[in-house]
Amino acid sequence: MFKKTLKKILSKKAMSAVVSALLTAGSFVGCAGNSASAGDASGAGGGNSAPTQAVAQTAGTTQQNIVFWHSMGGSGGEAIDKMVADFNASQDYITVTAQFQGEYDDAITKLQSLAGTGAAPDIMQLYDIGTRWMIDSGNAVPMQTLIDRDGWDVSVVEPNIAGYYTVDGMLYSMPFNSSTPIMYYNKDWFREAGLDPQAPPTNWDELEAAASALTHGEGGETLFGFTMQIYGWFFEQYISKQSLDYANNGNGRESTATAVEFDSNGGGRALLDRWLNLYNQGILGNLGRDGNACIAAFATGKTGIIFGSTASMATILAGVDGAFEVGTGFLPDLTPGVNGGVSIGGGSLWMMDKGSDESKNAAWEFIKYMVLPEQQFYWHTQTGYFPINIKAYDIPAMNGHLEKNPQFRTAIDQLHASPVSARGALIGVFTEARQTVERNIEMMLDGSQTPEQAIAEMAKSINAAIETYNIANS
Amino acid sequence: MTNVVSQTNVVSRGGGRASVPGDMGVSGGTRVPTAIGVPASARASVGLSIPAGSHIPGNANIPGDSRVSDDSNVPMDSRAPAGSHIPVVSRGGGRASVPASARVSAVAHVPIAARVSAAGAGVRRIAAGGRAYNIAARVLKATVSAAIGLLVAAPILYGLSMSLMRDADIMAFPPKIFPIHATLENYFNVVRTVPIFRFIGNSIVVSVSVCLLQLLTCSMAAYAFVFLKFRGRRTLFVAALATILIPGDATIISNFLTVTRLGMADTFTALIVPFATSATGIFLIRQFYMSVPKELKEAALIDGCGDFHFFVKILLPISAPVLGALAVFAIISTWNQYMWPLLITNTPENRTVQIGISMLQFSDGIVYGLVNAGCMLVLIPSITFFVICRKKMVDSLITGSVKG
Repeated sequence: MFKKTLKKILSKKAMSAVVSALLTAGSFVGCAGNSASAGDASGAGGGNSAPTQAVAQTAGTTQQNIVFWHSMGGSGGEAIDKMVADFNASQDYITVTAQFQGEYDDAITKLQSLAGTGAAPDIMQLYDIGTRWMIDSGNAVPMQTLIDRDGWDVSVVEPNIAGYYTVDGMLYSMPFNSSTPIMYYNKDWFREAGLDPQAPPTNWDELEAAASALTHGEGGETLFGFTMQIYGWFFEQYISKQSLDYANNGNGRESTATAVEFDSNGGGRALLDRWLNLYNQGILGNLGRDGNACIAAFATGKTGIIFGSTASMATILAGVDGAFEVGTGFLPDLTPGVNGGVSIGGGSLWMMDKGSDESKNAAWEFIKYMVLPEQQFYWHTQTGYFPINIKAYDIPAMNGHLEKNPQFRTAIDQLHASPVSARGALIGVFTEARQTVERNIEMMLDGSQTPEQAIAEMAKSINAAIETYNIANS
Repeated sequence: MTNVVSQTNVVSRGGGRASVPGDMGVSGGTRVPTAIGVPASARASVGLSIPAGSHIPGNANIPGDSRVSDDSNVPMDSRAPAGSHIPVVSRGGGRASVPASARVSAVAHVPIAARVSAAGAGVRRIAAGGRAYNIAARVLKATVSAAIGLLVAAPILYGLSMSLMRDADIMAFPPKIFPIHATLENYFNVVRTVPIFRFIGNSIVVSVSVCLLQLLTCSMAAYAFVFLKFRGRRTLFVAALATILIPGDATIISNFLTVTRLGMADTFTALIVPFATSATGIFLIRQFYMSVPKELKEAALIDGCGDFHFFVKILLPISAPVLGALAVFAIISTWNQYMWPLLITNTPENRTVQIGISMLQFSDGIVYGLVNAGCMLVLIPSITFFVICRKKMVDSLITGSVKG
């Protein structure tokens, strides 16, 4: 019995030795891995000595530490880290620390619990559809106040993009990562089907004809000419394309939206009728809500046309890998001749109100840096988001870049062809609204409701959410 | 001398001659309630003192040259009293175990346990015919095990394969199972993009700390709930247990505010301390302690042990399986945490692996190769942990399943 206990203890010791060995190894490796970020860390350390009760009026005289929350993983996160490091190196009185905070929704959760405390960030990246929520939350300082104070020339910001983030005549946040949906098509398929690969469909009549011509069977499997992702963003775009409003009160931009309008103005019905019609003809594929599934289907030659974000272009081109020629075109008009344009998606930079003018000025300096033409050019090449600064197109390297990636030209042209009025709705419950829209489109495609019922259901459910939100925020 | 349905698993491995531990009354967790004597008419005499449902771990030494099919589960219907049922399992070419029809020839030499004796002759007859069957069964068993193992490991193996592919190959159709242009590029990109080794190190420190703290607090709390008599013991226990009903998501914000106001935000402390104890752990250990006979403590007290000595010297050693189960549970659940570490930490120096994986994703693109490479790196410690502790883990899982 005692021997046994002893044995057990011994084996436990062996175990703990192994564990501690692992721990040590872990921390050693950790040190090695850490050396990469040592530069940032020491920079932040230097900034800690800044006196908090500085009386200086401008950011130029005291040390400022700025915390920047973002939701960019992967190549976007890498690009941000590089831009932040360059900014920190470019001057010596502001130190910016970029912190990844998960997806936008995670970051919002975190901000909600921290708002008003010292732990809140100075700058936060937030998605387009969070605009109304952020304004209502009262945590943010309108960017316009700093623009005005500084006399910064706001006309360098792409007008179609600035339009989205302008509310009550004020630019509330600085656009940063912006994208639009475009049409991707397989030029090789177009040639084989006898279509002109240089003339992609410009409206849904042509789209229907093309999809019909492209759809074919292969090994007992139907390859759809066109596959449309069930995505609330596309639904919103097609309301805008019809020059209609998604929500009342001028898309919620004249005054707070109290209900959706896509039901009463017929915009939603027009899209869903068309969508279901193509689907029932067997020329429109349905891969559900997953955008990546659509991209993969397109890249592997399983479908001929998809809609996708401009920011997905790098992924699509990498996936196709030269197997066929990728063409891009404007999002086709639903009603021939009516082009209300597309509105942008993506995210922008918000300045949080933490009370101190010095930190706001410092944060402003950083934001100005992030939207410089050179920085925006770099950002564009790394991520595929639009350069939001129109001066970026004057950079010689930009021309070379566009020549090498002609597909991107379409996206820029489409953006410039869209009127500033195409700027999407502002409602506080957009995340929920998108899910509602997507769920009802799914139910329509699986035959459990008609387009008419789908639109009615969407409107009912979103209106209820808007009402609750407005009561809570009035 | 009653008709008790008694089921005894005698497991012999590798022909080993070992004996069932004498103190099985304790380790099995149950006192021997009945002794079953077998009528003389049976040609096996079973001096059986094993309680219903108890386990005899390890190894019955069954002498005799009885070669019977591997892993055969042979009920020895030794005309024991109603329903007494003794499957004998032998493994690894064990020379043991006996078919019932053979009238039980083996003498299961199990000290307090079963003692089976019968004529040995019948066994050999049966065994000779069983050899071919034996090999076939073993091959079949190996094949089936390999197939199931492969099936279970398939997602991980495919992940490994994808981590070695370029993105174009991952998306290719028909899907590629194996990397054709194998490349380590994804791994280099992971290391370049995020401080993954730092995250792994952090996760190890946090998981192990949480595990040790839970072992300490849960075993001590359970001790108080079982062995100490004090007012409100039951109420306190029910109160502790009730916290299991509150989902973690419901308290995450208030925990976050508390921890932030305590000035612990963005520290390891904030990752560890909120998980220093767990109601599930207390419950698990309490249930185990309940099965420890009170007499054990009384005996220890008579011998001069205090509560502390009894706890450390006697109770903890015999609790190893349940502590192991809790340790595994604590480490794995801490390792997999995402929301809490994301909320409470800001700097890469304090972040854990799951956040590292999400940092590899780019919302507008597909980066399966990169993400899978990250997952493979993150899996290394988990798999190492499993390999080292495999036996203990399996044992503790079995313990958990029996004790409930």
